[in-house]
Amino acid sequence: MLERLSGYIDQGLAVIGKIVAFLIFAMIGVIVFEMISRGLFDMPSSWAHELSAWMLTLFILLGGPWALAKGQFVRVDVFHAAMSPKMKALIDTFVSTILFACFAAVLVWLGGKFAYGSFLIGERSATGGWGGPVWIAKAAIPVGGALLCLAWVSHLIRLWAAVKAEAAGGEDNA
Amino acid sequence: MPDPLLVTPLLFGSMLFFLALGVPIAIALGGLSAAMIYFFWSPMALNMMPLRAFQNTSSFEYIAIPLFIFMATMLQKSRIAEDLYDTMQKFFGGLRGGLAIGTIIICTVFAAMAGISGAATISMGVLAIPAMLSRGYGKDMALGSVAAGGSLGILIPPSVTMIVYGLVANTSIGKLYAGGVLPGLLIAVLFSVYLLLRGQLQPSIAGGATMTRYSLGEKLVSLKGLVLPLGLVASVLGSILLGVASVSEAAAIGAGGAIVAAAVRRQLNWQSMQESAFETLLLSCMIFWIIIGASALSTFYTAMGASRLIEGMVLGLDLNPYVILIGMQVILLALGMVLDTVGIILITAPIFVPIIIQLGFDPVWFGILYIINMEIGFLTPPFGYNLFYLRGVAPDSVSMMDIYKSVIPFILLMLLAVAICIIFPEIILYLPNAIF
Amino acid sequence: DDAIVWRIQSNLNAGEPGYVALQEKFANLSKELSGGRISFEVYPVGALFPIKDGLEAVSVGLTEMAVLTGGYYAGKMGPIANLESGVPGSLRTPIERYNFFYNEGFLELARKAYEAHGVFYLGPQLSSSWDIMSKKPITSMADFQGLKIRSFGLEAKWYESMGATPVFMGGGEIYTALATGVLDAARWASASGNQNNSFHEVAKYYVQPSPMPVPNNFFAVNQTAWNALPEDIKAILNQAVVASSFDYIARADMLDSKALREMQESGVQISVIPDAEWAQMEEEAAKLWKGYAAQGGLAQKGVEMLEKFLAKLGR
Ligand code: NA
Ligand code: NA
Repeated sequence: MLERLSGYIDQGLAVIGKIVAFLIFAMIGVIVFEMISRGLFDMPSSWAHELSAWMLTLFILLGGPWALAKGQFVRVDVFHAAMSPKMKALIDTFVSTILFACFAAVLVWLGGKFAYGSFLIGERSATGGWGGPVWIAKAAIPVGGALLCLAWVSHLIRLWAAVKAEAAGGEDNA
Repeated sequence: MPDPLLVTPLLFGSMLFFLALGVPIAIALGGLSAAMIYFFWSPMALNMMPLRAFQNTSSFEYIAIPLFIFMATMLQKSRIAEDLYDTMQKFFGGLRGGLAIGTIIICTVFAAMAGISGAATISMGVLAIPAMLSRGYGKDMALGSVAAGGSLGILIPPSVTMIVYGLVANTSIGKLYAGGVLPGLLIAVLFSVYLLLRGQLQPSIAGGATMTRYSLGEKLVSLKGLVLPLGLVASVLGSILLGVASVSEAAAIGAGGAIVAAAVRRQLNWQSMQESAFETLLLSCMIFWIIIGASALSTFYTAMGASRLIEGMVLGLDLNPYVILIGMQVILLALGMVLDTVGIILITAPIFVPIIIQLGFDPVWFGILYIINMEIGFLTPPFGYNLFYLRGVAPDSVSMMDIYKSVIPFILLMLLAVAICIIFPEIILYLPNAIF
Repeated sequence: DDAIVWRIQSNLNAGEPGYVALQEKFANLSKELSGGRISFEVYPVGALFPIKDGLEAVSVGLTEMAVLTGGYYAGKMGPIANLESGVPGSLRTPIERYNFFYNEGFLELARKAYEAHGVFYLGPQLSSSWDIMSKKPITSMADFQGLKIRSFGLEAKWYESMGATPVFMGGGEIYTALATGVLDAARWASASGNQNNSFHEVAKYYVQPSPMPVPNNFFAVNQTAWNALPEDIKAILNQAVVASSFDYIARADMLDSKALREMQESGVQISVIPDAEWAQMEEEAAKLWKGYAAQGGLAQKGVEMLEKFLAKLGR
């Protein structure tokens, strides 16, 4: 039941992650376009740098939850690697989760206020002159933070599933 | 205001504790920062964290990181990286440690294409580590040469770190750029000599049991493996030097060029493009989420009066200029073990540089020593960006302990380089004085 | 024991004249005048938050106070932010700018504009000029044709109207971009600031007159923190801001003359646009900011106030 939930979460995060992953092509395209347009035609865009930088924000913040679900958030595994699945699960459930909650709460709550404030005043790009809506990029902070929470829940479910599986395996061997 | 003497051990003690427990690094840094800010600074100051998250992920200078990672994954999936290492194998195959030296050389060239460090380390991690491991190189040599070679990025121009230092220190950026070249080469040579010796002493981890020598014909034929990589390097460097691209933009030439190169190599297909995009996303997220946590932590430490603490330590030192100089290096090394580069510069440069000038030392010379120290900081455990990046790209058979161990000789070599540059300042100052 | 301690983030690096003026004539002076009841910890630019989101930082109380640059907030506040930090083709001397704020009523307008963002606008930090350094001599409007110049906002539109190619680029990239030729020119700080960035090594022409002769940054205070201050300390801070402004101008003036001389010794040439040509260029710029009036509200009031003051000055 719980494991199925974890599966759904991971699938959802993977879909989002894979979609934003394609932004890398957009970043390449926008920057190369800018160089050609400026270099060959003396027509720099006012939007290329900022647009590609905002794509980076979406790339990292919306892709991060998928990376977490895939175990890409690296650890110092000097001691960790040698621990039993149960020990690992205990540490992540009781220590990492507290730290995670502090971090994610700030991103979701204060990041949300930051993005919402930007949306309310209709904040536009100030430097580029093209007036792009910056709140879209800022909104990636709370959204990414919320998705990260889902990824963490799924991670914990999988950890305990592994503990259960090992225990079951252990009984079989016994 | 809280006493930095109280906050320092608490902050870094808990950081070490959580990292050692194996909490994911980004989460340990982010969560710890949030808690410490709440209790020691103010609940309102927590707002700093989303601001930093947005700043770091929307910085155009950092866009080179995903772009170079994409270039590397594309080169690997289109087998261009394999071709390159095959060519090196044909030429240096008979030389124990030759491929590791080749890796250092590629890192040095990479350093000239990028202004930041992470891009080179992780790209070379993607390209070089599997190539070396599959050719009979031990984890130790493969990991160490990539981690250490990758750190050259900020010493060999262009360098964003030098620009930051130059502004804080009111020092010529041109001179800093020029000053970084010879020490950069010196360090590359030290690394190579070490790898050569290590290869002689421990052949088993430097190319395996059997070494093959190749005929001249085979060597010449293999040269075609250099064409695409060299073409790519030429386009990236050329676009910078000809004024077509800014340093950050040039990374897009590298990424786009890798797609073109894959097409030329007849290896371009939708699947490899897609896989490269996914891998780029996952590796970039690994890097940036650590940066988000680390910048929150160093901002917190700055706000707690870290500068005052450091100032007190330096002013408490002996009056002998060289004692003060070495004391500063020690402080930089110590901070490098626990903080990120940007934080260290903000905290220490405004204090160190005026003292250095007052003592009669050359600020450009000191700047280069400073940058080498920052490079060492990328490598020193427990907190070292390059160590974490390698953990992210290396195969699962590699443990963090392997990585920590692999960099120790290189850290010692860089300390040796610092000592050489202190004893022979001309190594740093020759080019700046000749050019400016 | 109920002494107030505030954190201030400067808009500059430690040691720069505006930073020193902030430290000495704002922070230290206020502390002394208040008998130690208020004191400050000054942090360099970017140490605690990115200046681009400085309004949010101060309004939520991340620091009680900061020196910020209005131009960055035009995307949040509209053109009133440009008018607040200074527009080309208008005022020419710091005294004119001081009068505009303190004797013509613009300070109240700026306070009203920033109040909407949770920030108490304590006052402007009058600053030294923002100048152009170029790789090619610029002695006429025609020389802007095809010039790749680092700039943004209203100024970018101005240069574009003269045929230039404005390029936006972060501070960390400008030096290298000038060196390689991605940029032909950059509008950055005054002479000492430009020298500090080593631009003279890669751009050998210093353009005069200055396109932005009297820009200003400003002192932003968290509204709640401000409201909690006793009246006498408020009065002290109001005066310390003025002292700090003029101290900055004075320090920068000395350093700028020295920097310009040193840059000339290292081969930089002064590139002068003749008065008649310059007047024509300034007219182009004025057209742009006068266009802000069409947006109504505070921007319109600001434009009217500036036009009225310029008329008094006979321009
Ligand atoms: Na470099
Ligand atoms: Na380190």
